[in-house]
Amino acid sequence: MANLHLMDDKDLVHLYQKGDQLAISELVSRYKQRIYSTIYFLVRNRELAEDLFQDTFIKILTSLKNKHYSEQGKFLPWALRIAHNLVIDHFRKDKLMPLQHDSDEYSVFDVLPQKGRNAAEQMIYDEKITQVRALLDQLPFEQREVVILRHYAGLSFKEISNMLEININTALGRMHYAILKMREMVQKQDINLRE
Amino acid sequence: MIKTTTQKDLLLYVYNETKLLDSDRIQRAIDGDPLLSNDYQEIVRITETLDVVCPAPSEEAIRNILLHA
Repeated sequence: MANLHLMDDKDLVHLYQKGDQLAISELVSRYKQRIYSTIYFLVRNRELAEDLFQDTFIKILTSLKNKHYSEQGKFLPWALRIAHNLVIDHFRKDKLMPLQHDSDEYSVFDVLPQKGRNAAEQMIYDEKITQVRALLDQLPFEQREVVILRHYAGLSFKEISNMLEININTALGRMHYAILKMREMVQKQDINLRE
Repeated sequence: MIKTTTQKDLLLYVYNETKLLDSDRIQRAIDGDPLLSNDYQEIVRITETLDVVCPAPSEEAIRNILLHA
């Protein structure tokens, strides 16, 4: 039997389309963190992020079954485009298009306790995630979106520009201004999460 | 012609999106310019700060997805 971990995305998609369930399990496992993080930091609510994450993969499965996936594109940018569209649809539907400072309340219950962390470690992690969210939340949506897609989704600036239909220099400019703003906040509040 | 290293070059360099020759040019510029070096260190500091967390979906969400497979 082929080692699924070593197979590229295109071959896993082919296998799934031929009926191999393990192939989709490998794709989910490969990209779950990048896709979930992206959704989570965009919507800033764990329950909603979990729902949109599931909706994203259900849509992916339907597209793959119906052979609507184009092999010319890469799997991850395609999957993230689906996730991003669902997030934007959600905001449009609820007229909640996020603006700067639209949500400054955080709950540690928004973060799932991770396996292998004791209570003290979980508390430290909760504190870190609150601070990272505070850093991201001060950014205008367009800047936050680029930071999340580059940093947590792992898309290149070129892929981000394709996805958001903007010039690559615009994507880089948004990232640059986002870094300046976060840098100011880190310095002002003496944030050091790296230790 | 000498190419100036910009803030955009620094971003591409930090995220490993520069070609080998450009990487070499940018690293030399960082080494030779304290202001650029400071900007580079600050970008790295911010990216390392963002790196400390990486939220993951629940096992239940994964199970639900695989039920639809």
